[in-house]
Amino acid sequence: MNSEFTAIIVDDERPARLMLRSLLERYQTTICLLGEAQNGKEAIEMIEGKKPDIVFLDIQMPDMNGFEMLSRLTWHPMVIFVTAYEQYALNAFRENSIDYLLKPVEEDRFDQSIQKLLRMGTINKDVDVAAMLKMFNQLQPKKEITALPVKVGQKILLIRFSEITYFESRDGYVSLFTSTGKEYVSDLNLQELVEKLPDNFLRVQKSFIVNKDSIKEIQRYFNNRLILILDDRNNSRITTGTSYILQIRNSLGL
Amino acid sequence: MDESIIFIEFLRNRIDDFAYIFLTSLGFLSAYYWLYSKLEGKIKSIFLRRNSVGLILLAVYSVYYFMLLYGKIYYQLEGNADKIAPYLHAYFSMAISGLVCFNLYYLFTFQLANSGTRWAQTVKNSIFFLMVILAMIGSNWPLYGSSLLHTIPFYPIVAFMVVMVDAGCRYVIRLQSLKKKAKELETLKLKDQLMQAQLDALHAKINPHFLYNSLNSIASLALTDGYKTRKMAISLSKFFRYSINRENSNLTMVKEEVEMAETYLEIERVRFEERLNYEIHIEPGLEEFKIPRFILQPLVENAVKHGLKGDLQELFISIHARYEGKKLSLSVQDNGLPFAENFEPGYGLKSVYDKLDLLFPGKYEVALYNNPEKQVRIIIERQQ
Repeated sequence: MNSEFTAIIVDDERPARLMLRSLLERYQTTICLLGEAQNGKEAIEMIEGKKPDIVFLDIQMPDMNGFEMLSRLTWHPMVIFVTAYEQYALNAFRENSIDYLLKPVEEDRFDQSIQKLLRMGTINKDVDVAAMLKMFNQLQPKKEITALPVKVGQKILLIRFSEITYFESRDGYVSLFTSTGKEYVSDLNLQELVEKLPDNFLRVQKSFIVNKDSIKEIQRYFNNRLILILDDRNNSRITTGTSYILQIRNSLGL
Repeated sequence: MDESIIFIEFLRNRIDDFAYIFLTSLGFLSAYYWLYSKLEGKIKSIFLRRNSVGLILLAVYSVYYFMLLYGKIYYQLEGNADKIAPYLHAYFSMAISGLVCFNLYYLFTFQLANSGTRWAQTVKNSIFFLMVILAMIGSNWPLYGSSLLHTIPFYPIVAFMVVMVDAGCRYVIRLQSLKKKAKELETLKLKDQLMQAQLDALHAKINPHFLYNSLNSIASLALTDGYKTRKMAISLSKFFRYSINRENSNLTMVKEEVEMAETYLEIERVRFEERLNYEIHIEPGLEEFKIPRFILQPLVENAVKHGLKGDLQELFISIHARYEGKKLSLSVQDNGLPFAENFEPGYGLKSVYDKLDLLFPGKYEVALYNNPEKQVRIIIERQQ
């Protein structure tokens, strides 16, 4: 083998691997393709076994993403990232002056990367994989929790937060009530719920959490308490606890 | 006079006192609470906003009236009944009756009146008349005692007063509710416009990642497999034409929705090849059932996305449309990992909920199952 570089391709889609292979064929004399891996696990084995100089790496694979795979390697090859990602991920590449290819891969763009490699003898050598992985995970659009899974027999129903008017703890069970007056039992206790729920849910009493957006009317009650009238089918009335009054006043702007 | 008779007379008079005081205080208490609940928040008066001030006022009023009345009763007992102008007292007691029964009436019937069923209306009216009679008996008791027949001429006048005040209140409430309704109608119109905008936004959102990956497949297949490339390009354009939704229709038929899910699966099958397989069953008669656009494809997309995670080598997806009673059950089942205990829905599933909420409010159910098979199932009632 008298090629200058050895390479492998990592991508979970066969057509995508096919594409890179056909592009690489034109550099047969300088780059020797050692193999192709179709997921992260296979890639790790192959890279550790064959110790290639270059890896053409797809970022999004089903079992792990490209950076995760890289962080698990003991052999550190040069990497040319191949991605279908949109703007937000590309900025991360640019800021770290990392060379990458966009899907669908353009021939000119591919040639540029290879030329650079041949000219400099190296490419993307000092990628801080750990930092990239961290940045990449941060850049993932944050998954906003919008609903609570609730088990009803075999079913798992998703009750959207906007539908929930209040939670009540009774005899060790936490029930949640929807604006249509339906009642479900949650597996979580009130403390766990407080941590999980978004800001518009408010603990108003030892055994009640109320959705702020569903409060229709507030009445004063004696002993520094309030009566909250909720906008649901039963016009539920909840009396707040004395010790929660400060948080409630702050949160409701009273 | 026999001593025992005097004693009985005395006792009867004490009971009279007690009955009057009890009924009058009940009347004032209800009057106070009624005012309090009605005017709270509307009139920024310190008397109404502060419970303690209100209660003190009530107590002062009550003591004043008790003294006044007790003085009159005392007069009577002394045999000076003639000195009191009976008509004056009659009008005074009429006013008290009106107040008492009106307030008791509102105190006890406000909830019922709001519920609006025929049964509740009947109960409400019965309570109303009971209150009128009770209040009149109560306020006339000290003057006439057991000879209540004397007060009969005043009954219609009191009843008329009560009815007038009641009608007045109803009119005010009706005016308020009319205003409220007009406002609601306006918001309803706005809501309609908002709904269309929301639906449009929901339809337009197609994963660009999917598009780039598909185009990449086309670009590479073009070199080796012309037929497959052509098929892929056609599938892709079909899929996008459906998603762009030129006709601006929010609803579609089951068969179209299933066809689009299949088109999507065909595109993904070019990418994932033999690792992705599927089957589709539609129960005859359901083909033209109307459902929102793009509620099946997100579920299928989730199955593909999450199903190929982990070590699974071959993902099998089955799509079923069948009757469940008169409702439609649409399910996407796969052999991937089960839904986690603290499953958090992503954009796809959320958009399905949003569309169903806008177009089939209260007439659908979306449920996830892990047993006996992992699946997502949507149940929709037929649109009228």
